[in-house]
Amino acid sequence: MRVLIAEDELRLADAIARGLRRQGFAVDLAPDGEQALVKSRVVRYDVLVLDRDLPVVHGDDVCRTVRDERPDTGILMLTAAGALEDVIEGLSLGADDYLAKPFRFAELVARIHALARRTAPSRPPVLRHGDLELDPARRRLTRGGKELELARKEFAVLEALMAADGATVSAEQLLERVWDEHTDPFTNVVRMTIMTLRRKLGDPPVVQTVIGVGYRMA
Amino acid sequence: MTALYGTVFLITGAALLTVGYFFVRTNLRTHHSLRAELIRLGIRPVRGEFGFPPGSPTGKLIHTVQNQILGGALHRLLIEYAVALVVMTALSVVIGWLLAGRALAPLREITATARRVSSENLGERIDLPGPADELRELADTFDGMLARLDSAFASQRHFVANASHELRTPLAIMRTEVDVALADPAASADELREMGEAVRDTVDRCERLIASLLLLARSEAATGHEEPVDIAALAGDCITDLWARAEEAHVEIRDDLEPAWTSGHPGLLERLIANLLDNGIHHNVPGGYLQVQTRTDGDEVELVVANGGEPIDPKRVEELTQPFRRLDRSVRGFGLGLSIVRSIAQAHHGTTVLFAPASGGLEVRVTLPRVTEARAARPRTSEPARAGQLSADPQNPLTKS
Repeated sequence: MRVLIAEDELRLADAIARGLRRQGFAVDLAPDGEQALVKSRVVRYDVLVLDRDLPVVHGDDVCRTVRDERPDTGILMLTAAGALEDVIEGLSLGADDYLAKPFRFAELVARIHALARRTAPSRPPVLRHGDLELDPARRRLTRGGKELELARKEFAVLEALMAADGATVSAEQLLERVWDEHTDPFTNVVRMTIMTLRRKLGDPPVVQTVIGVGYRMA
Repeated sequence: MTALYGTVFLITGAALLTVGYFFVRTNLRTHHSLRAELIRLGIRPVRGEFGFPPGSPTGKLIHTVQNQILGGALHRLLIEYAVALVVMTALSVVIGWLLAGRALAPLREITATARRVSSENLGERIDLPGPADELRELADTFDGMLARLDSAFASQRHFVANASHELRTPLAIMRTEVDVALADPAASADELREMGEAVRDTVDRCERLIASLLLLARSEAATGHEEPVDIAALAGDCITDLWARAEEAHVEIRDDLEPAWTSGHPGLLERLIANLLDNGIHHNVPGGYLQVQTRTDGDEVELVVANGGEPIDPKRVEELTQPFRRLDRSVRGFGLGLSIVRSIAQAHHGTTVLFAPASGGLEVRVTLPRVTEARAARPRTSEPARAGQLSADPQNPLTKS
């Protein structure tokens, strides 16, 4: 899942990014409102974590614009103003959720997951395919009841494929969903990750290659 | 009030009537008038009280008649006076009560308004109509006081909101850093150490923010013990303190310090200068300059701190003295520096003027009322060497070439 954090307080943005990356998210940062708009137009983010007090373009304006241009991006407003009027104002601007600072990081992660579930085409909380059971929130994968250990990117790729529910996902789409902007677009990292993923999943194979198009769950 | 008025009237009325009564009595008993009357009637005056021998029967008769007439008249007069006094007092009490009620109605309005007003509800004003008399003046003064209270409370609320808002971000940083580090069961000692350092830095930042906020609040309430202060001396001290930092930032400090005496709190004034210099070093460019000037001009003293740097949008210059307003957040600081400067200047009955030249940078001009050096109660021993006489002192960094 790909998340954009629009926060001008660099220390905070960095800390959040670090934490989210450890949870398997691909995270991009925008230090001001203008950057946030530019980036959200290039990539479809699952969730935009938006600070209201942004320089150049105010967070409220970013919210309205992204809401218009990207209806499938969840917007979580993060801000120091936590009074009831602020919450109401933020939600009526088009935000899907509102979290006041200081917040518990675990809560932020849970809300991001919940938002991503909502904006993705009807997705159950726990993904199932055959004897595979993948729980994105708890970061657990079991096959036939037995727990499997996956690296973060492998987990994220499998999650994307299972969420597609049999539809084919291209390598580019996987790159966009699972990796952040600092990845070389001409890399073969997707292919490598699929390879190690297949190895770890074992037999019978569940990840199928559709030549010239991409990958899907068999 | 009516009681007072009524009593006063009663007393003055009684006094007036008593005096009048005695005048009448005295006049009626004088010799001259009776003698003149008798002469007019053709009766020859002889020695004795009324021109008749005192022992004679006529004399006694006249004496008795006169006493009776006088006595009767005076007695009637007394009664008439008493009745008149009572009636007039009663009348005056009634009229006085009515008039006072009318005249004092505005006061009642003022009292009512004062009762209604509370700290949440300072928007009301009395707005008394009518002639510009003492009551109008009272009402207007009261309105003025309400206006001042209103703005003081509003600025306090605003300030508290701003401050709590600003403190939440460092809290969020600390919280996130700790949460993220602790969420990883396999966190290495290095990662935990990094988290610890990040938290410590943020705590330092909070401390500085709180100190600045306190200073801002204190400068707005600055009263009491004031003393004569030489701005030039303070500026010299601050320049010395910040010299190393300026060198690191490759900023050249140019000073032109003439003695400039004002009256105030040395600590606060030093903070004002330090903030300006600090700003000037920070919002500068390598190889840039920082000019510090103090001078006396008539009955004012002036401190001018100017620095070169990036051009600033003139429209945003006035905003800079509002608390928490910054040009951009990547530069260290809370945006309180200039608002503290303005607040301290104001507390010292001075003004702050900002100017952003097109060539870049910022010029801040602080004007304060002048105080004659003769008022200096305690001579500050460091002065004479510093103020204006920056000649060859090998230890003084300001004169190092």
